[in-house]
Amino acid sequence: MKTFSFTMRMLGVSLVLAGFMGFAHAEFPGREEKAPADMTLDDVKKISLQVDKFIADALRKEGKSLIGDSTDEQFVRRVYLNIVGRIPSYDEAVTFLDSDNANKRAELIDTLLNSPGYQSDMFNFWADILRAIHRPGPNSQTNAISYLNYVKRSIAENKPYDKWVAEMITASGGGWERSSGGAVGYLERDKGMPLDNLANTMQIFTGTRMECAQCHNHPHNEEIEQKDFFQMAAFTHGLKGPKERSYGNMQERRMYENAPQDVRNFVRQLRYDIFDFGVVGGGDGVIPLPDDYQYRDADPNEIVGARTMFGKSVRNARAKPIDDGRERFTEWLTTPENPRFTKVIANRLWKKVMGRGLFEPVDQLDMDVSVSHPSLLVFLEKLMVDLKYDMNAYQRILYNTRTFQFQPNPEEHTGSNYHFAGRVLSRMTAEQIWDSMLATTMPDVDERRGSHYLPFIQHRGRYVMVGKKDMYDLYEEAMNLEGRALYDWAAKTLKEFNGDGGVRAGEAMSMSMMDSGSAKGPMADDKRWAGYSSDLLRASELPSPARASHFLRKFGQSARQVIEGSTKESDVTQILSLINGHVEDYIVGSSNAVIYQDMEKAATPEEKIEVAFLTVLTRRPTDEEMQLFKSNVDTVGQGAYDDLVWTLYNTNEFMFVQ
Amino acid sequence: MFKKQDELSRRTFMADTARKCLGVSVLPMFASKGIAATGGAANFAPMRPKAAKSVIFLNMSGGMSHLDTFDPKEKKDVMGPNTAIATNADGVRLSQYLPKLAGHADKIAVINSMTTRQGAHRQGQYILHRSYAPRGTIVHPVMGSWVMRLSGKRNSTIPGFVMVGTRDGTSTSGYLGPKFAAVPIGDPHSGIEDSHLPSGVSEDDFDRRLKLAEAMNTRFKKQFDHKKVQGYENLYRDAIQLMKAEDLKAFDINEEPSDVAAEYGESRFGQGCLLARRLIEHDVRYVEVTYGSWDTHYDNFTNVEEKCVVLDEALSALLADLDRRGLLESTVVALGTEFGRTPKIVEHHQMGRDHYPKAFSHIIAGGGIKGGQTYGETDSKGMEVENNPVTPQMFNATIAYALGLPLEQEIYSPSGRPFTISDKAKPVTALF
Repeated sequence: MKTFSFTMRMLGVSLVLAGFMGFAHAEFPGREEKAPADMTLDDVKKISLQVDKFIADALRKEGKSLIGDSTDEQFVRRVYLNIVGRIPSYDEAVTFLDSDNANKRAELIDTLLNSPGYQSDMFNFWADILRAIHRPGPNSQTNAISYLNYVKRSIAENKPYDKWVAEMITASGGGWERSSGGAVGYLERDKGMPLDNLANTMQIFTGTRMECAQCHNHPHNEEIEQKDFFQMAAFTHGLKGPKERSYGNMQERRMYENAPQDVRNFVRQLRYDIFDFGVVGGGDGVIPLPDDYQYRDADPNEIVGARTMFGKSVRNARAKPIDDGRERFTEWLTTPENPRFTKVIANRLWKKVMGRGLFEPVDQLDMDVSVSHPSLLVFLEKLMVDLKYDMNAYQRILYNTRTFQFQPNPEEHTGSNYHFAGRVLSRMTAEQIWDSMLATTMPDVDERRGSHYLPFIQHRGRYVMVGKKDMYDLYEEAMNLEGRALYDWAAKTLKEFNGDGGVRAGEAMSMSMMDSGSAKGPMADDKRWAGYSSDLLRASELPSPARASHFLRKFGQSARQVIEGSTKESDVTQILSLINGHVEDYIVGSSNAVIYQDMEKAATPEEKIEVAFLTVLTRRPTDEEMQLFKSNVDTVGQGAYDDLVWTLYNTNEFMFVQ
Repeated sequence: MFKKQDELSRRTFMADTARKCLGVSVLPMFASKGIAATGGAANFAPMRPKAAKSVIFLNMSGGMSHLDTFDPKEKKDVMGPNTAIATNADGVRLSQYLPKLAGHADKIAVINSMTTRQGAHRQGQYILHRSYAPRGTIVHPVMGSWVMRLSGKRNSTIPGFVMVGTRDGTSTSGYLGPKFAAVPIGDPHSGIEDSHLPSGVSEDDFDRRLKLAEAMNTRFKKQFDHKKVQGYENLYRDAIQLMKAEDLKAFDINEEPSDVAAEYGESRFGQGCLLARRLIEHDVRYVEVTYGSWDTHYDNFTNVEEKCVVLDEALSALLADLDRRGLLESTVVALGTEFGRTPKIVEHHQMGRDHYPKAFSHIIAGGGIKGGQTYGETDSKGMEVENNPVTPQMFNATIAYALGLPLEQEIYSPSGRPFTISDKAKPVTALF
């Protein structure tokens, strides 16, 4: 395989953080002192300027003029949507707009990057990429909440990206084993399909598309042969569940068949959730080629040894089984020397911040990939390494660039490479739409927690033993039982469940039930949210993915079956929902909606109209618009405010982020 | 609507002319038509000249027992308490659980040689709908999305692909994108969600609001004269058109005379079939109605008998109704399931039957299919397919063939992988 033609040497400078050595070489600080806090704003801005220079130089070379700064209105809406995944509330918008602090943009960026909204938005971002779902596996039976919480925790801790990836690929143990912490869920996402899992790993983390090579040589974009694929797959081959049960032995089987129906169902569920959910084995480093292998360089079913297909060569040449294939693979994958690993994440986060990638798709880094700003990509790659893969700090630098803060581009961009002459106008994501509407409906929406991510035992659509026993306890109790002991225990435990009765799953939980210790933050029954439906939770607190008929799915939330399956395409059913559905059901005319409460506080029609505009569109109305809605108040009376609220949500301006 | 059809035929004509003159098609969507018409694709049957227009697909999810429905046998040990009955067609025998349908057997072709290797529900349903095995790296589109992709809407004011009943979370249109996705209907009685103004909002209110929104959009459009902004506004137009469309009433089964509605039975599935007929009548292209819970591991005979009461009534009514209205010739009615059930009766599961992908039954009717015939057969125990095996892919190819669609036309996924409507399977042309 060819390597990239542009290299570090082209820049000829010691890079990026050279002026901030104290920071660059510091050990990664503890959780309390997050990395972004360690860099002063001055330091951040110096690097941001360097980034801007790449963009400005390129624009100048193309004879394009530089772009003006966004207005405060444009900036505050954009930065909230980008970092916390929703529009600012009325109070948040006004606080920012009316502030005369010269540093207010940078300070707002820091506040948002350290807020719970950031974690919520990043969870949506990663859940889409990782296909992180509540019930993975071939039969969608396994309760994988421990994994979802692992992802959330990794974001909250701002775990360095390279460590995070390594953890997921090398994780061992049970999915509900307390000490393993759910990280095994990444491999378990493709339970029983290890080859698909490897293809996904290579795509997500190295931008290498190998899925075709699973079945045949593929000359699509680069020469990847089927043998290459199997040699890569050898590293992670041979993994098992912590206690896979086949009911193979007669005694076990008879026990199973003679047990009452409900006990049998329970044991089957244990199999999905506990006995099979997890990973044992270090990775064999060897794998047989498939039955129908058709090329001359090897025979069908021939055992091949692990071997990396690009970058530093790591191989198991003797093709003898080893016990640390996953470790070796991960070391190769996550080292800064890997020619693709860092580029992919640097560009992925660049796209998240700037709206367009330096190359796209962000997970297709072919040899002949067209990069819009090659030397900037090299710079960003080095920056990511110098920041020790601190994703929050990296984004902080990008948000502080002028490039992020440009005016929107009035021209529609078509074609592949973007010159970043202004922000690209784009439709909100499904999550942004839902969460933004929520922000105008209820207060403190980022803090409201539901019960969908708690480790409760679910039994017949109910949470049972709440506060007494959770999934981690169940794991400890059941994991080491066999045969009769298992069935006796199952029967006894089932009786406990039935006696307990439980709470309907998904229902709002009260504080007192949170003793099992895993709920963080106030729950849905906190009095701030009295009177709001318990279904009104941020997308990151709803099941992953939301049910098929949910608003989020209608607007393009991924079913999380394929990598980045979300879409910003619109269709008629979405419009109907905006015209007649959700907006009418939860907002228009709802006196407890925040937007109405804020309008209520305003004295005059003019002030009310201004409040509504600031709430939904984050700007004050023009004179013309003020006239339009005022004269509507004069003719229609009170109903004109419902017209106003309805109208603002049904404008293009609401839907498209500038 | 007529304008659009005229436009389409004009373009077809131009494409034909271009092909004749230049030997190529100017429109990719007609390219394969040309090949088929000139016999270029030797492996495939030529496209049918007189094609059906619509499809009603009845999805028996859970795995319908073939022995207890369309492939009854003589042997007591595999039939349990069930027996076979004669029908109004010499070529067809049915289970005694389907007495009404026996009076309409002359309209249906029974395929008793279905076979697959997918023995799990999700995988079986996946291949039944999408003709490809599930992969972790891509979502393949379902038949309805394929049909929309290859032949488009017939009625431009309402959706062209509708799914009635529960569905799994997987995108229907997969890599084809949301434009070709099904519009889901949960309850046949409530139609398309949010298609009516909420109570308390009058037409006048609505018009006033639309004018306000338009005034605001004018300003935005001046700033951003983008195609995607225009496209978004067009959707508002479509949505309002749909709300006001005469044909929106196609979704309202409450408009059916009560005696017609009663024929289909009161069940959700029956009313779903009634809705399907109404939609087809209004030129919807593809309607799928799901009827679940065929997973009869336990107490197979009681359960299947109960399920068949609903199926028997609804399917008989649907076939008779379509026939009466002269719609059967232009509508393919297909009934499928992910797999069959074991001939062996599991006695200690109260006479249950387990999954059996090796042999099972589908039926297909209308759209040029010859009724009153049985295609393919299993052995005397319903265990092995004896002749003319039909895979789910071939079954889908047969539906596509009935519609006159180009079976060999490749569509590329965004990642550049080529796919065809039924994975290049051959249609069962002997059924026509």
